[in-house]
Amino acid sequence: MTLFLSRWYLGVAVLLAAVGVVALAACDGGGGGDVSDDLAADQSVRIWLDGEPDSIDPSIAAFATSVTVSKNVFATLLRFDPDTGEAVPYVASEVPSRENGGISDDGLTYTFELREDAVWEDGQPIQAQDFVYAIQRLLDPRVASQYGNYYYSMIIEGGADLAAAVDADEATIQQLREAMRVRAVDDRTLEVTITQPSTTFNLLMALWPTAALRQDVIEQHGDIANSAWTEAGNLVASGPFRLAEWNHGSSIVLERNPNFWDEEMTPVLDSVVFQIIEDENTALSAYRAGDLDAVQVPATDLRRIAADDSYSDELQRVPLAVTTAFGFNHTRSPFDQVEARKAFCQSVDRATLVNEVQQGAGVPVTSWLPPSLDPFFDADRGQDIAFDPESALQLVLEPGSSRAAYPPVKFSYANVDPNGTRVEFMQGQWTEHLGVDVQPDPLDPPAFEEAFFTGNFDLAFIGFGEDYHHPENWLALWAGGMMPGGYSNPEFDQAVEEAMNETDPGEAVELWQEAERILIDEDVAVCPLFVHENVWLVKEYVRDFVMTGADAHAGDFFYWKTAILEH
Amino acid sequence: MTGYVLRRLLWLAPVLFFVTLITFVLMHLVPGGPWDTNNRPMSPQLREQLESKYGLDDPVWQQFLTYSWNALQGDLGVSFQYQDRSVTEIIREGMEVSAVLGLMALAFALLVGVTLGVVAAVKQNSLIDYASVFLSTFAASTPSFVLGILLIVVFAVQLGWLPVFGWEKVWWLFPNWKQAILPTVTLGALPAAYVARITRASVLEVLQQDYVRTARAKGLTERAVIVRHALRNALVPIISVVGFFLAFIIGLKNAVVPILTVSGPIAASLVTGSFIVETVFAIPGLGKQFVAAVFQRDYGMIMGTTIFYAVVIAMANLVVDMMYVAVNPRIRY
Amino acid sequence: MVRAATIPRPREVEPQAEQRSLWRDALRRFLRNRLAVVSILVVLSLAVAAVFAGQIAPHDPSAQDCATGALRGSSADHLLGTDATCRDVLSRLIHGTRVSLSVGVLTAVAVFLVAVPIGALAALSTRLVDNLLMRFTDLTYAFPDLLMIILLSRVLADTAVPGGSVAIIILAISLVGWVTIARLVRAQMLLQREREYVQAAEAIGASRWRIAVTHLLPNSLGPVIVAVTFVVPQAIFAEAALSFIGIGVTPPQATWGGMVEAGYAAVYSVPMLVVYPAAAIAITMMAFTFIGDGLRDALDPRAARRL
Repeated sequence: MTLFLSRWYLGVAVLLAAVGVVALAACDGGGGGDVSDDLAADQSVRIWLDGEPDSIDPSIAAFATSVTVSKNVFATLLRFDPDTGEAVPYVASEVPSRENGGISDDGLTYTFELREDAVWEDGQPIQAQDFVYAIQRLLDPRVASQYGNYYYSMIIEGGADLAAAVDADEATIQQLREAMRVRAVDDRTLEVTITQPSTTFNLLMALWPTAALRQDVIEQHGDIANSAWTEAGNLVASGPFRLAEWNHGSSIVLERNPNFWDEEMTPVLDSVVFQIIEDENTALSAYRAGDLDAVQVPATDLRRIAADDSYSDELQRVPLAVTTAFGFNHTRSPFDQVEARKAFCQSVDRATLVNEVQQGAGVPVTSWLPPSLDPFFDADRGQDIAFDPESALQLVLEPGSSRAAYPPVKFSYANVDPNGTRVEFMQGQWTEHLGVDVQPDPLDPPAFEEAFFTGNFDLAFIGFGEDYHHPENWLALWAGGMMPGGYSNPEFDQAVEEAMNETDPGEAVELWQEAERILIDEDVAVCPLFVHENVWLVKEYVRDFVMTGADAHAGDFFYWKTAILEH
Repeated sequence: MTGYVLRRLLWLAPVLFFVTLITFVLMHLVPGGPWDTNNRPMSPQLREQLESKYGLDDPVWQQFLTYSWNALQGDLGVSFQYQDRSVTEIIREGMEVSAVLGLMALAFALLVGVTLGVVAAVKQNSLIDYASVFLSTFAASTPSFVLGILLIVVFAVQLGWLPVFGWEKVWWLFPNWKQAILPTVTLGALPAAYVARITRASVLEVLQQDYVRTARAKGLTERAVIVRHALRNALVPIISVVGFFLAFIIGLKNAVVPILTVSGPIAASLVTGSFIVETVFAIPGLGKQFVAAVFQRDYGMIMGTTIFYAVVIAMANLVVDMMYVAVNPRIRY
Repeated sequence: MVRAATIPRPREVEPQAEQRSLWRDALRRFLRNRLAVVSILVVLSLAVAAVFAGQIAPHDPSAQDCATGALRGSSADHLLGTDATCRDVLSRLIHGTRVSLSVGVLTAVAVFLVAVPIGALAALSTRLVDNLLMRFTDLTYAFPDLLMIILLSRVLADTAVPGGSVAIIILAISLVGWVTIARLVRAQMLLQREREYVQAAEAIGASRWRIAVTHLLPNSLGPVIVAVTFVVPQAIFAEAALSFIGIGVTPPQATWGGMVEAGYAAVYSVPMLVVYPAAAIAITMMAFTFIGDGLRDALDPRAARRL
């Protein structure tokens, strides 16, 4: 009786497993269905979003998902041309320059002339006062803005004093706000004074934290740092889209802003629906079932989908200006020695990492600046740290750095997918090529950030994503010993300083390249691995879903252009 | 009984206090803080500003007292991660979803579990018995996210009968029924398995005790007894609804004490399991929020949700213990 | 006329004899349960696989064979294929037995060692102590399990716990799971205390300690052992669920839970990567569950012959 039982159980088990496997492996095939050239009646695109934004308040938004929404709902003085990465006019009618008088002779005062026709969603004109309020709020210590402090407190005259006034009383803060050199000359003219001449200030004024804000709206809903004003129904938009719905944790719906004032950027779509789905597989399932129009391809699925012809019309890929690397702790043995750093860097097979572990998503690099940073990117950068296990082994066995003396090394990383597989791969590489024992150290993201920024690590798996398209954004953070890990080289600092002050563009390229040469070729301050790629599946009936290398979220520079075709 | 209940409620206060204290302490001991989620170097300036804004520049013991005092007045503070949204509101929004999902899963577990258990017990040693024992053990041995993706692929992607994800309220707190099916089944599978096994065991016991004795006394064979009894009649394929409910109630009545015993693991699996189901089916529930808060070191959310859960669990325990005592007065606590 | 000698006399039962034959009876009943016996064999073979993993596994579980590639299907060299970092799945599955079995069994042992003394203490001591202990269990119960586990594992991760992350997981799961068993022990002992043979023993002057150890404890242990057996599959299951959340054993250690989680990420391209470890977990859990069932059927004195 019991043996019959066991056989029966086995039979059912096999049956169930077979059903499961067949169901999963059955071809799902993309594409199919006719798509005409006419616009569909229902102009609504459903896009995957990988998590809830922390805030869409421009002063506070920091997550990539937050930036995407903020960018499309609020307008800044300038914006980025996604192809060149340069600043182009937005609410301001021109980009300030020496030629047009927008920048003063001493390079310290910027004057922005606003467009006559720029209005808020409720019809009120966008005024210079709105930008003054925005920048004051950005640096107000009561708001505690991450990006405000990082990018703007030092460059804007008076900003540092305002940001330092923690716990000061309201009168003092108000005083400091007014003392800051940001003022509205009149309703249509904004004047900003900075602390030192800069080649990148216009780029900074194109970033989302500087978007115009409505003081009356914010104050209506709470204190200076409140977020209630960002809820749907309260928020007053200035960009191509308005916030129609925000179902926390579930979805965000943007609708075309009927009062949007820029003809070129007026959206074709009626609405953009962001579906918040943390689980990649669920997102892909939703796409396959037709519940989503655009989704990111999970790295582990890429080979199958890329090889599948039925998906070829739907696959879109673009390299991002995001470099993944691992950093060293220059104050701890053995990484205080350049030979050790070089050896570890040379023994990682980047090509296999990208082709096998990441299934082809990404581009291996040996430079810190990404290939998209033309003309500053130097294709010859990092020749000496390319994959070369024999040379690496030699370095390690050299009398100067005895392998046996290597203390156990921990490789710290934030324990989110897919970091683990990459770290484990590299650990295997070091075991195989160097015979060194490296211990993966997965940490919760906050614990990792804390360990990293307090210099409590041996090796750290890091990445850097560009905020604005300029080598300053990439290289300045290595200067002055500010980078966690303790890298410090006065020669490098000087090279950066010179490059920042150089006004001739041709010379500047040379100087920035020299700085990077010191960083990578000479010092091996960090070991770049690869540049990310956004790989997405977008339904054929979605026209003009344009992905660029600067996207915070795929296609977010061009949602105004996207349209739905009849299908 | 009233005295017992009152005493238990009084104990709630110190329990809550210790829960708050221990969570607070542990939270501050864990490496990484709420501001360590940006990926730009944190200037000391910014840290000062943030700590001032959220009151973290006071000494820890003072923070605890301030927090406790506020909590007693019903103010659970704000989330550190999601720009100042009130914790109470986030919990309320999350609970509207998670509570409904949990209750639906419980209902599913009881309905399916008891039915399966009764059928298995009555038709003991038949194919149905083996199938249900196997199915329930299998359901209890498969991680819920595996089960979830399996259901999604079969029912949503391949067959297209049901949506893949989501949870929209259509009437009061209740969701679109199509969206609710897969998550409910996934969450309720494990408890259903437990309930089925328990019901089967206890109904078997009852069957054998009463009816075997009676039947033997009457001189009938076991099989005849079972065949004749109302339970069997109630489960004939062309059944009357009343008969079905009768069987169900009888099964439930017999199994209720053992079910109560394992209600702990069931309740726990509903609370813990809800995180996995909410992630896989993209449901904006509290389980998902809670785990995210812990990983993001969102002190405000962690404290508020822990206290909330502690109250809910303590109340649920009390109800279960009360039922236990009511059903079995010999066991005194 | 019926002669007195032919009337069967009721068997007289002495406490000592009853106790001995209870266990032997139980063993006999257990062995008759074919499913339970098969499950014991399954568990034994898993144990062998765990101990001799190094010899049985075809490859080093951490060796990365990227010449074959990542997420490749089965081949002669890699019978079950390779995982996301080019490692042999079969070898990892075999080595994973170690962690999964240790997590399961050691958690059960830890829970037993903690819950029995506490439960017994609560049952046997004064009202006050009992109350305090029960409120203490209430406190533990009131904690959201997951929070406890996450926080504990994070706080402990920094300190060098012997046994590493596996020990931390075991500790965290058992700290959360001992409560139900303790309450069960207490309930059982309270129940036994009312039984006649205990009162008889008290009447003849046996000390409370002696009663507790020789009578109450052994007779209470039946259901307790069954419950503890069920902790094993629950712990194995918990390890898998925790890996999904992100609290697992540190890599590159192979664990079934970790493999399910990693395989889940690739479920559309290589579904078998989830099926293999999930099947391993399911089989192990089912085996322990059937053993538990068998134990319960064997130890239950009222059990009528079922199969």
